[in-house]
Amino acid sequence: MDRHSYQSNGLQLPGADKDRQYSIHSKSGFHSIIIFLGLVLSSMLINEANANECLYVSSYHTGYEWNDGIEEGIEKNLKGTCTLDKFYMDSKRNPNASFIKKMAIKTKKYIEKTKPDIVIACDDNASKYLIMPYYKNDKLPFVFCGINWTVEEYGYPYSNATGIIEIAPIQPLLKVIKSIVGRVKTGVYLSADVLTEHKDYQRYKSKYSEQGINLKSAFVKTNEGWKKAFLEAQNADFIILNNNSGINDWNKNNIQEFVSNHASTLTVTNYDWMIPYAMLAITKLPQEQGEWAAKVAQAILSGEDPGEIPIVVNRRWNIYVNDPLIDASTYTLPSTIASKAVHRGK
Amino acid sequence: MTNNVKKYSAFSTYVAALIGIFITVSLVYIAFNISFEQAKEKSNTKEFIIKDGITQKINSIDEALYGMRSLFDASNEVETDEFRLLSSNLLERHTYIKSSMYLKLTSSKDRKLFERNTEDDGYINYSITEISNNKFITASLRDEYFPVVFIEPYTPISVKQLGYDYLSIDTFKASIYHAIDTAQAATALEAATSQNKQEFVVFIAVYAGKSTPETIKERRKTTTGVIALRINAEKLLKSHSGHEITLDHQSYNNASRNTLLHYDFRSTNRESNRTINLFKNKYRINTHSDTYFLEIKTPLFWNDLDLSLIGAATISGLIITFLIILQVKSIVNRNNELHRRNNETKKLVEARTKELAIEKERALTTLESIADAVITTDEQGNIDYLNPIAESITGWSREEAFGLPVHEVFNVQYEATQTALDYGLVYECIEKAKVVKITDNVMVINKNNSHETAVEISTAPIKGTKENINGAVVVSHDVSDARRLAREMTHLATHDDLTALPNRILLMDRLVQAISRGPWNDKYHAVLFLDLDRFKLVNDAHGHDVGDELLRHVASRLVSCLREGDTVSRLGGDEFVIILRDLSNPSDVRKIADKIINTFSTPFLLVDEEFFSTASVGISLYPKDGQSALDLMKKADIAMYRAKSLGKNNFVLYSEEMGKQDARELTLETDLRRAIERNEFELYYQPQVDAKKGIPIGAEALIRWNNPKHGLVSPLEFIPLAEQTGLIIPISQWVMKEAAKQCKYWQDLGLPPIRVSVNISAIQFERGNIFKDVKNVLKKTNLAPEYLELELTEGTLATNPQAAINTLNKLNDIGIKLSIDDFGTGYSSLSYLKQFCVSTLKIDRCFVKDVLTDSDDAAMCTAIISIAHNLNLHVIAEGVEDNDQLEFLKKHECNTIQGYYFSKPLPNDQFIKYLKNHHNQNKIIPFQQKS
Repeated sequence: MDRHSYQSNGLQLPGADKDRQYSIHSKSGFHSIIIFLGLVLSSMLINEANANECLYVSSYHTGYEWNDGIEEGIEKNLKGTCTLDKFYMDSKRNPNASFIKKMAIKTKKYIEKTKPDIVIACDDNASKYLIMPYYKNDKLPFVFCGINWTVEEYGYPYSNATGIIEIAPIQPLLKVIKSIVGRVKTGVYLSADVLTEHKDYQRYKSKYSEQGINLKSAFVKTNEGWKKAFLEAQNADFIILNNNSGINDWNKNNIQEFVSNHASTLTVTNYDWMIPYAMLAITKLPQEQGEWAAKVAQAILSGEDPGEIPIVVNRRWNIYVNDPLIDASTYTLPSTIASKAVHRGK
Repeated sequence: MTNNVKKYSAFSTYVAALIGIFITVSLVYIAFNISFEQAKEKSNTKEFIIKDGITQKINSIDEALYGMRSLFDASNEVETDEFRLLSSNLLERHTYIKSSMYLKLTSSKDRKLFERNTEDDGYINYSITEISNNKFITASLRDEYFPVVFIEPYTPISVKQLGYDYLSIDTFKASIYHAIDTAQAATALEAATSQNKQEFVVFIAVYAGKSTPETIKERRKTTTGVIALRINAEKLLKSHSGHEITLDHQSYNNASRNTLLHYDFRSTNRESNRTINLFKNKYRINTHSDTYFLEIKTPLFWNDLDLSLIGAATISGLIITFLIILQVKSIVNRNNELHRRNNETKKLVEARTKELAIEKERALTTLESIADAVITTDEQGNIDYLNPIAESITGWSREEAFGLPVHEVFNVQYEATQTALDYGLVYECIEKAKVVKITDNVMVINKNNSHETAVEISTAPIKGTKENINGAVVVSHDVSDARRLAREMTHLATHDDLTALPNRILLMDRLVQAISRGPWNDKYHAVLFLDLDRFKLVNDAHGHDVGDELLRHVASRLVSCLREGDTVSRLGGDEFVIILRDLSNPSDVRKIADKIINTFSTPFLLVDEEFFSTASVGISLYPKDGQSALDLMKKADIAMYRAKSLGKNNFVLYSEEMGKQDARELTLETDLRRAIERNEFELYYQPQVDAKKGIPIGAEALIRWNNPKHGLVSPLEFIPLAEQTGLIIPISQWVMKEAAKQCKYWQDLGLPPIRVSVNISAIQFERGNIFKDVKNVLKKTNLAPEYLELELTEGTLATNPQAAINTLNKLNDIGIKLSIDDFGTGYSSLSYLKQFCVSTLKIDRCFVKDVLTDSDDAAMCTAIISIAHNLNLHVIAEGVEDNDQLEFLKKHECNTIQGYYFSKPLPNDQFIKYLKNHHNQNKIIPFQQKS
């Protein structure tokens, strides 16, 4: 346990190595050190006792890049507010529902055991398998984060829960496309042929159609299928390269080479890992999720009613430019984008 | 000081104090005004700075609004992230901007679509809201809404305002439409919370298109939203502590002013009750779109004033007051002092006049009664006063003497010369205005020349008021008694009490005087040193009174047989010295000396008895025998001793030879005194041999003086000198101690014990303590008393026989042997022999020498031997030099023999050898045989 290891470190900290020296040179000095250490330790224990305890429940595991970013944002902003304890449900590596349910029960037991003052639950599974079944409108406050697009399926809002939803930057992406291409009428949404991608496509399509753009879809299951769809989409004004997760034979190098040889239409994406294949990317920041969750937790611990705090969405983006692809294309980036973007590939 | 003076003084002080206080108050007033104006100036400067600061901030709000509107004008569609970036920069720079918002215009027909789209964007359950009972509720139906779509800072608290319709509040509504219509910033208070939150909101409209529409109608038509900044008024005005600030906003219809903020910062750091004034200034601040009124009140505290200036003015005023009072008091005191002094002077003059009268009376009385004669004269030296004593010693009455020149009345003469004194002293005194004293031996002769009075005179000038001399006062002090006493003292100091002859002091004075005149006209002086012969006997036999009487008679006779002008003096005891001056011929001194010697031939009749006395006289002549008085005295003394040694009752003239002999004796005496400590004495031992057995039975210790300068000095020369100087006593003690020590040493060497004999001088026997000396010697040397023999002469014992008997008895009692030395040459009293406890008679060498050839000497020797044997005494003969003498003495049964026949006196080491030889051979070895 992090907290426990911190405490044990604290016990050994000030001047422990010097105790023996003091006992040789000055008995009264040794006593003074002991008294001083006692006071420091007592003070720390009292602080510990009085400090709030926050529990971070991750749906996934340590080392999962997106979640690590969220965790970083939480840790950074909760520093000094509460003692942060962590629990990982590991549902990314074990997506089986029965496993997740077991982990949810385990988590619940852990919560009952440790009695945290607030729980920050990250990603959908934590809300779906832990909060919704066990803590809906409970006294224990929850802050959720990392949930994609909508929380309706989990019955939010609760009286004891609030948080931040993760949305893709659909509008900003279109704004950038327009600033590069100018007048746009057609676009292609290229992604793996999975359910979530179909849902996402509908959101894109809905938003873009409000602005008179016909966004077609190309869902593929193989590496070659993706390449074929990519070639076919070259006639559109732009191509959105969405998540490739679900294409099991994805060949990174092959695709990267292929793209560099055949990309003529503007390619954009919302995913970090798709940057090597797209000319331009606008991505969310996992830290923003963590930061907001931490701020809300602070507000609740300060006395705010979680039911009164609106559920919000993320609003910060990063812009990336794949310079080799852009340079090889016929597009010229506006200076406002070129100067703000993070350049990759050079 | 009188009451009037006191009142005047107090009044003056009060007036001075009032003037001073007036000046002080004036100075303080001026200083206060200066300080006040300075403080006001400072306050104005501060207020200007405050006003400028606030104006700048208000303008900054406008600039911020216009800047944000530019973003919306430049962008087709502003994203939330863009609004965030712009606002965060703004909020950081302007802390008084609490939040920035964008309110999107939504018509009632678009409301649902707007809410649904927003919900689609993730904001679940989103709706446009308004506030009711401090809670956000779904907004009621209106034609238009201005809900918040962007807000910064984006916090869990602030996001509650997302969707809040600012048109739901009337004041905001008015301002929003004012902003739309004017295309300028419009300010509004949130009425419900303005007093508590100290906040106001400033709006600016955003229009569609790239430029601002010209007409109100177009503006209303093209409005897309409103940018709003919520201003924290407290922060806007903060940092201006110490002031009371009111910020009003001019309403848009100019009808009223809305107070945006009223804040009194005075209480934050100062106590308002210490305020002495309040500066109030109003300023109008015109921005691009609004008019604000700023009222700043700045309290003036005591601390704001230049208290040092006021303090300095107060202190200066007080100092001036103090100085004025001091000055006035000084003037008043000076006047009082003058007044007081006048009074005192008057009193003093009166007192002095009275005192002078008394003084004059006292002076007259003093003059009349004092023991000194006082004469006063006028400046001409003519007498105008004599006191009674002056009348007495001059014989002139005051009336007779008045007007006469002083020298006619005051007849003064020198005592010694009987000549009149020069009277210039009185005139000198008057002319030179100085005191003239005469302490010489002078006397005043009275009018009839019948009486003289010894006096000391002092003449002093009488000074007038203008330092001129009015006359002189002559004071004569009668010193008759003092002079007589002085003469008597002088006589006593220079004359002998007993004989009234000049003493040594006067003698030497006269001798020096005589010498100082030098040889005069081939004449010379003689000094005669006279000493009475055997005067001690007279004193001892008849007492000092008779001796003194004899001395007086001698003095009388000496004076009678000398010339007038010669000096006879008594030095002391029986010594007289006579100075004969201006003798023409040396024979003259012989005549006078004969005359002196002869004058003693007549017996002196003292206490009805005739006494015969003689004198020995030594004579030295000047300049032949000496040039100084002491030299002449010394040489006359030497000559006198020579006369004594020549048989006394005669005179001897000093000769050069006497001086030399005397010098050797003096040197010898000096060296003799050091001889013991320098170990220059040595004892020689001459053996005394048993006449029958021929073995040594004793030795006589004989002293020798070996001086490095004088060589071997004969005992015949130094023993008399030692007796004369008294050195014989320590010398005899040394001889006795040394002889006893050696005798014991011989015994310690294992030699047969023999007796050692030492000679005891008459002086040692008389003056010393022979018994004590003997006991000390025996004790220190551990010598048995029977081995020590003392040899005494008959003369020694005969001087004081009774004392000698006592001493000899005591010595005999402790076992000391006593021997009569040189028996037969002196008294040879048989009765004494019987009384003295002597054991041995020693035949003098003069009888032994011619014992074989002179029948008288032979008879003497046999008689002495016979007497000794009859008295049961031991006999020893000394000076035996040959065998015939030895045989004669042996034949007549002389017990012991001493002389060169057996041995000459030997030094200690040789004597030891001698004893060893004779001890071994046990027979007599005559000296001749040995040699």
